[in-house]
Order: sequence, then structure tokens, then C-alpha cells
Amino acid sequence: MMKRILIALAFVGGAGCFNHGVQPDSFGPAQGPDGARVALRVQGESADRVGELIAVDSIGITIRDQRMIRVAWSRVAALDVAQLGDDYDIRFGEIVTAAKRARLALVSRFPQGLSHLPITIDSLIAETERGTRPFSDRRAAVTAGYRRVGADFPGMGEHWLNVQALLKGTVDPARPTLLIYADIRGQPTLLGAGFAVITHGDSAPADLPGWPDRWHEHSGLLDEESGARTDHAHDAITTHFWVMHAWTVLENPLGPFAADNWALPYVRAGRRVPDRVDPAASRALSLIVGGDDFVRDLLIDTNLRTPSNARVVDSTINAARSRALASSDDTSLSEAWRALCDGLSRILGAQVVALLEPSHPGHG
Amino acid sequence: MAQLPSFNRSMRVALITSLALAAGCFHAFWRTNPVALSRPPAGTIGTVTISTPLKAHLVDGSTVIFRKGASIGHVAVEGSGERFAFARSATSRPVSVVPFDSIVGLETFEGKQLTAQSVVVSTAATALTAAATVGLLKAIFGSCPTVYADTGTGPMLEAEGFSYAIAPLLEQRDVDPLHVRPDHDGVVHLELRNEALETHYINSIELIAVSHPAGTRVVPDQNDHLVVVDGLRALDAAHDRSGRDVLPVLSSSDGQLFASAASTVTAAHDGDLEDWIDVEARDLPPGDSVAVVLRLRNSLLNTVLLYDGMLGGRDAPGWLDANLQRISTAIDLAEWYTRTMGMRAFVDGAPRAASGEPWHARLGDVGPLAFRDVAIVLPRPTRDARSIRVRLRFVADNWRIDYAAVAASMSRPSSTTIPLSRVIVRTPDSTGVASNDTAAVAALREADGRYLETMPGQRMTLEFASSDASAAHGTATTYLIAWQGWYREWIRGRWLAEPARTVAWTPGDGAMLAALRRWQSRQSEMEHAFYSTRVPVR
Repeated sequence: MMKRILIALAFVGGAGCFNHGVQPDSFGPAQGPDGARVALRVQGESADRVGELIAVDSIGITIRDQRMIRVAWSRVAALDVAQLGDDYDIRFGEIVTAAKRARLALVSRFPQGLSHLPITIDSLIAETERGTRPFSDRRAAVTAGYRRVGADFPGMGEHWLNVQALLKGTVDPARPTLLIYADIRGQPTLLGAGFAVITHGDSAPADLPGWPDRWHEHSGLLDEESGARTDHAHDAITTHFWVMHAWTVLENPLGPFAADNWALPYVRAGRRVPDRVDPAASRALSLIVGGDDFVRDLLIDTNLRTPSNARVVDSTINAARSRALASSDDTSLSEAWRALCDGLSRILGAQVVALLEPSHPGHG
Repeated sequence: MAQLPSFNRSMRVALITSLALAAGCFHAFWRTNPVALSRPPAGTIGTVTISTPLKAHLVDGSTVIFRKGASIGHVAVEGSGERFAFARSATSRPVSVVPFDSIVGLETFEGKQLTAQSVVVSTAATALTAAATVGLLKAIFGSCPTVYADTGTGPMLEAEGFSYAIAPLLEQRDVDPLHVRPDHDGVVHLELRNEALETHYINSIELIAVSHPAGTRVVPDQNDHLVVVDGLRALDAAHDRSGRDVLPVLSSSDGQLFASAASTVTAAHDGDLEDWIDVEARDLPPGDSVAVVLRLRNSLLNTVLLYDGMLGGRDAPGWLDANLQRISTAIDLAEWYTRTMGMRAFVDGAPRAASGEPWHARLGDVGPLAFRDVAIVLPRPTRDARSIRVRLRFVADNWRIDYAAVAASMSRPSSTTIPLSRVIVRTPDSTGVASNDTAAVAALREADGRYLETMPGQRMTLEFASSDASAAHGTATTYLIAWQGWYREWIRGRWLAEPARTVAWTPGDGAMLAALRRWQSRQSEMEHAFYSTRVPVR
């Protein structure tokens, strides 16, 4: 009997020595505003992103290390939550349940979510992707007030503008100022969105995500902004129209906010988008999916293509198109583009290159 | 001092006196008097150079195209032009001077490939343009495309589209309720007309069918979203800014129209151009919102602003092209127009709108021709509030309101879109052959880069094949037209000969006030001319 009592006391004493789990006084989120420390592995990356868990919602996980990042659930590979166990960690290949998301949210900085917080440049892509899903049917966009403006650009597609959204002057991921579409295999396809704001005089917008680095100006004539003029004269303009693209659907090799997306000609042509896109190769590829008409129209609008040179200009464009059509790799595509630039320069003068490869801010 | 010869003292006195009097005369002669300045006669206004391509439609049916622009002088348009016997004929002869009095209308046109919208022109357009020219001079005013339907008593005007979309960047989509019914084959017929001195660019037209409980009504709201309103009831009070009780005028749709009181229009000044109507509804059932249902159209104030303001100077072609093609200028105009025109609704005691706008709802202008039924959906001051007081604010005399009521019960219906199936164009010659214009159908099917261009005098029948012509017991079907486009107003030769303004037009209260004063002085004359003259259609 005495022996049993001693054994029992030893277990009890042992249990006191070896505490299981985390006690509140040693768990950061219970002691202050910070969220739990996490190590997040993003699909396709070889190292963890380590930082504070900011928020967890139905779209994904937001953490802050050097900067705020938001990762959609589809791109979350694994998650390790410091001081907490399997109930909170996400293993590779695990399908995360709503119950686990709710548990994780409770140990984040903002358990209530970020929807009422200002939009940041880091959250904008995910929020816009979610907000613009209804507009994957272009008819829904038309009903909501979007109208096409300007040309169908080889590296940008068509811009569809919502004037009411523009006049509101806010960045609303569910009602962006612009939607970007292109015809892919005969179907109008949503590629991304764009945000536009108006400023007057020298004023700068307040609390605008990505301002000013990600934004570029389009205040001039429609044909200037369509590339058909290069003599931008905005000095006298007091109303300024600023645009930032957000490539939410078609991933942009130059970054989600770059103006041109040179993956588009590959998608239009039904080819695989290379990991590194050479804009010259992509421009050449665009010639086989309508970009030849774009170049021709550009030269007509700038009065460079005239009745006297139309034949030789057209045959130069057609030759570049044929060469692009026969090209199987980016090197030969790039050469086809260079040959077009050289050929047109010889006929029309060196200024044509600035027209074909505009250096407009934000247009890569 | 040297002595003047033969001048004696008396002579000196006389001379000094004379000089003094003369000095007095001279002083009086040079006295400056304020003189009122008057506008210089039109003939003294300098020549305006327009660099954008111009197209002049002449009274004899011919067309002159100035591809590199032209100079607009005192009595004529001058430049290097090509004269075509008909708008789209292939041969031309050179012309350098076109007198104003031979011009029906002058329009700018796009010479650009990239920025110009793709256009599909109906096959009958050429003949129709020529045929309609005879009647053009009778048309003094115009206003956007119209649709008519035969509701049993002949063609009735049902709707007008995108009334103030005067440039491509201002393209607009409208949703208008119709009274039309399908025929026994389930086909809805509408007649599309261009009765104005304008070129219409129509991007899309479709029919929307909404099945709803009998006794309820379907109308578009302020954002052109459809709403089913139930339990429509009269307002409890309605007073305008001048203090008039306007409830009797608004209580029934009887053609008795609300118009701003003369005292309010007269009192309008720079900084305060507004009139308003305060409406009240009491004993409302529980809910968080209400719909103020209106039947209304615009007065001709907007038309005066367009004709005499924006297009009232010889620089109008340049203003239409260079200014409205400039994104920043179009934005300035759109911002001002949104802030100033239309109708803004404010709910007493309701929190400010989440959108950040100062009003709780804004209804855009609908045009001066066809009455439109529309609901302004508004929040109540608090959930289940039993009464509501709404102020409807607008530029004085901008609206004609036939009817106003309130509905406390509303819902968002599901709808069916019926695409356009045929566009029937009847050739205007003696054969009168009717044919389906497949190019026009293709242009109008989608809101994309393809447009149907129509010219004054043109009309066509739109056919929509409705799948279900009969409504189930206890339900009704309402049809609405959803259409989108823009138009280019023809600048009349008379406007160039006698311009209403000599300085550049800029949006602002000053421009609006000038239009209001001109409208006030010419109202009856303009209304008579507007509603009695249309371009005859063939």
C-alpha cells in the first residue's frame, strides 16, 4: 500500500515538473497585441517566410516580416506556429478546414480580419482577385457600368473603364476603376484590373496603396495614351489621371503592378509563358495574334505610313509576322522583332523605334 | 519780359480770358464717361482654325470632308475639302469654301485607327441619308436615339437613349422600362429612330424581361439596377423651395408637370443654382429602406447648355474633338456634371452614405423627350423608422416631374436577357424592300468595339424573340430596353454664323447660370420648336 502511495506521489510530482502545452503568461498573443510567430512556406519557394501572424480569413494568411504579405490559401504549402502544436500547424499537402482557419485567426493580431483596415499594396492583389470574380463574365461588367476605352494593346489588352468608380476616387477592390480583358481563343477573358485616381494641381493622394511608385499618368489625348503620339505635353494640365494596373488573373512576369504584361501574347498564341519573358520576343509573338494590325494602325495614326510607302511598310510588317510565326524559341522571336524595328527605321526614320517600344512611365 | 507788339492790356485780358475759356472747353471735351460695352458683332469675331478632320453635311444632300481640318471664318468654312454627292459615294471633287448657309450640320470625325471605335454601318444608310436631307432644315433640335413601339394605338415614343453622351469617352448605358408586348409569335418589335441632327453610335441593344407578381412594378433604380416595388402609395407631403405645395401636381401621372417656380429660377445665382422638393412619407411599415418612385424627364435646360454653351462658339468642333478626347478635360467635365446636374437625394437624419458622397443617392439626367419611370432607393434614418423626409435637390428648372410616390417594400428581381435577333431595314426607294441587316445585328449584340452608326432620318425595326410570351397566373412580365452608345451632335451652320459665345466654354456655375438665363428668356419658343420639329424618318 505504502509503495503504491509513493508511486502515485511520484507521478503527481512528476506531472508538476513537466508542464504540457503553453501557459498564458508565456504566450505572446495572450500578453499583448502581437499575433503568434509563424513560419510560412509558400508554394514554389524553397525557404520559409518568418514573421508575425497578422490575419487569417477565407482568402488566405497575412503575415508581416520585413513587409506585409498576403498569401492565398491556394499558395500556402505549410505553416508552423511557434509554441502551438498540430492543432494549429499546417502540414504539406494538408487541406485546411474552416475550423483550423478559425483557430488560427484567434492567435493572429487581428482575429476579426482586415476588412475594415485600409487596403495595402500587399493585400490589393488578393482582394481585387476576389472582388472582381463576378466580372469574369464581361456582360456582368457591362451591366455594372464598365465601358471599353482605347485600343487593344499587345501587352495590355483592352481597358474597360467605370466612370462612376473613377469619380468616387477610392480604391475599391470589388469595384476597380478599370478591368482588363483580352480575347483569348475567341472569348473575352478577364486578365486583371486597374485603379485610377484623379488629382488636381500639385496635390497628392493620401493613403493610396503603392503611391507613387506603382502609378503612372494618363492625362493626355486618347491617341497619345494609345501610343499614337509621343509628344506628351501635360505641363498645362491641372487635372491628372493616374493609373495602376493589378494583374490578378494573368500573372505578370514583370510584377503584379507593372503596366505591360508580356505574358499576354504567349497566352493569346496558346504558347507556354516562359519563366523569364523577353519583351522583344513577346512583341514579335504579338504580331501573329493581332499585333500586326496594331503596329500598322499606330503608323497610320502617326502619319508615318502614307500612301506612298504603305506597300513597303506593310510588306516589312508582314515579313516580321511570318518570321515570328516560324520562330520556335524566344531568341529567334527577339531577332524577328529587331529585324522589324531595323526595317521600319530604314523606311521611316529612327524615331519609329520610340513609337514601337514606348518608354512611357510604367509601360515596360 | 519782352513786350508783345500791338498788344495792349485789354487785349491781353481778352486773350487770357479766351485761353481760360478754351481750356475749360477742352477740359469738358476730354471728360471720360462710362459707356456700357456690348458684344462685338458676329462678323468681327476672328477666324478659328480647327485642326481635327471635319465633315460638313450640306442642304443639297452632299457632304464635304476636310480631312486636315479647316478655318471657320465669318461666313464660311474654308479649307482643302472633298465634296461627295452623297455621304458614302466614291467620287468627289475638290472644294475650298463652304458658306455657313449651305451647311445643315458640321461634325468632327475620327481619323484615327487606334482610338476610333470600330463602326458597322447599316446597309441602307447611304440612301436614307440622302432621302432624309430634304426635311433636315425643319429639325431645329435633336436629342439622341429614340425607340417607338406599337402598343395598339400606333407608334408611341417609349424611350430615349444616352441623352448626354456627346463624346466617345462619355458613352453611357441606359435601362428604360417599356410598355410593349410580344406579338402572338412571342416576338417583341421596337422601332429605332434617328430623328435628330446627330450621328448616333450605338454599341449594344438588348431586351430585358422580368417576371414579377401582378400588381407590382419593375423600374430601374438610380444605378440602373432593377427593382420590384410593391405597395406603392402617395406621398404625405411635398413642398418645393419656394414653399409651394406640389403634392397635387405629383400625386398622379396625368400630364400635369412639376416645374420650378419662376421666383426660384430668377433667384438662382452663382454659388446657388438650386431648387428642391422636400417629400415626406409617414406610417411606413417596418424596413430599412424606401423607394421614391418618379415619372420624369428633363426640361430643355441641358439642351440649351449644350447648344448655346458647349457648341455655341466657332471653336465648337475643336472643343468637341481636342477637349473631349483629352482624358483630363473629359474628367473635369464629368466631375462638374455629376456634382451639378441630375437629381441628388438627401435623407433627413440618415447617416452619411458609405460611398463618401455627400448625397444618399444621385439620379442622372434622363433626357428631355421621353418620360422615364425610375426609383430612387434610399436608406431610412434608422431601421424600421416609420417616417422619412427626403430633399430632392437639382439645378432650378432642370426637371419636369409628372408623378412621385413611395414604396416601402422592394426586392431585386431575377431577369432574362433577350438578345436582338433581327434588324429589319426597309429601303426608302419605291420598292420598299425590307431586309435583315445582319451587320447591324452583329454590331448591336455585344457592348464591344463594334457600333451601329445611324444618320438623321434613319429608322429600323428591332426584333427580339421572346421565349415565353405568356405570363403565369398571378404574374406579369415587364420588358425593359438596355442600350449603350454615344452620339455626335451636328454643329448647325446657323450656330457658326451667329455664335452664342465668343470666349472658350468652361464648365462651372457661370456657364450653367448663363444657360439658365437664356433658357428662362426663350422657354416657350424653344419648347414649341423642340417638340414640334423632328427629322422625318423614312
